[in-house]
Amino acid sequence: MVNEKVISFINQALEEGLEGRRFQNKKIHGLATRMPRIDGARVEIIPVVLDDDFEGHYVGMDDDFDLIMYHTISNTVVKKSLNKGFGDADANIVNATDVSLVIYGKASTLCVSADGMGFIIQGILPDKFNAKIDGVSFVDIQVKSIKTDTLVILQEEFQGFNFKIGPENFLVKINYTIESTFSKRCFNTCN
Amino acid sequence: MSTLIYNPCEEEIFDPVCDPCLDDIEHGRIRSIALIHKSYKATIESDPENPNLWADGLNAKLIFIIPETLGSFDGGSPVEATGYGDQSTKVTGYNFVANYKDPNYKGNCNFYNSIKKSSNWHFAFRTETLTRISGKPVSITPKSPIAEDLNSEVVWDVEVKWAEKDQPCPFVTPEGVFSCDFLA
Repeated sequence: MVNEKVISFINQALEEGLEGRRFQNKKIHGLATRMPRIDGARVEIIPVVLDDDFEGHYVGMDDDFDLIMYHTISNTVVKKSLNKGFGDADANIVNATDVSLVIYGKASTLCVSADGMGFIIQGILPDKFNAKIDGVSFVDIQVKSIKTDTLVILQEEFQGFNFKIGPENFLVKINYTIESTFSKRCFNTCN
Repeated sequence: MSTLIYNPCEEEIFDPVCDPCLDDIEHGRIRSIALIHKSYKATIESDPENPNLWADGLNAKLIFIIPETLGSFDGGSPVEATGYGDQSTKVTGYNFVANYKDPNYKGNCNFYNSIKKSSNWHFAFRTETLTRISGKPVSITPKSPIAEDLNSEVVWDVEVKWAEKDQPCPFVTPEGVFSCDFLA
């Protein structure tokens, strides 16, 4: 709910921020999840986006695009806000969700290195989610780390996957947090 | 013949209560407040746990209720006067201060600008299950501070002051009175 709206907002910022000619052939996906795919005797772990029928569509590395991105959620830490509540209500709840933005790019076509791509994306990512969500006081977006070791990211995201990735390609992983502060009793769960 | 000014009479002392299981512990925070016009105070105090009296006062604009606040009460600073005989000082009353925050910043500006000019209102304040009413009318000083933090909230920060002889005694909060539904 909240995280999906924030990820859509981030993707909108990425679309607008990557308008340059070299970034035209890009595909920006939403929230993906890692699923096993059985290919003969081999099991591959691949990122997929689930549609409304819960069918998984592969969103990872692909020769058709020069730049591909998707998000994955790993964990949410829950804590109480420093601001106290009003009336009988306790303090607001803060959900800090760890999200990874995985970026696959063709360095030779984009004319940028893994490190440079990470820096470009970090500059585009918004700091706050500005739209109103019922029950949510505010949403902060904070980049935590940028991983640029392609082989390590390949092993983390594409276990068993048969895809040749040479020095002309890169994988970058930007780890960021979506921190949502909300009041439980004002949060509409019926939408 | 000289006249002695002191009170040798015995005050009536009420029996203290004992609750070994502490089932009746009351928890803190001023969670709601009300302002009661001095002309209606006696009516409310005749049966303070009766929500109908509160509803009538609300309809007649003799009671204003802020159902959700965040506040504290200092319990009173004793006012001491010189004692007599072997008594060095005696407590003649208290100066009370309550502070509360009201999150309805935009909507309540006119309310606070009007009420702060009046000295005709008694202050009722609710904790977990109990409410008390000031014995004397209060002075109300609203402020609306703004902090630098982007994520901070702009709320009304209100100081309420009064002086009276005794501590305000609590009564059980009347059912449903301190809620937004009651005001609708």
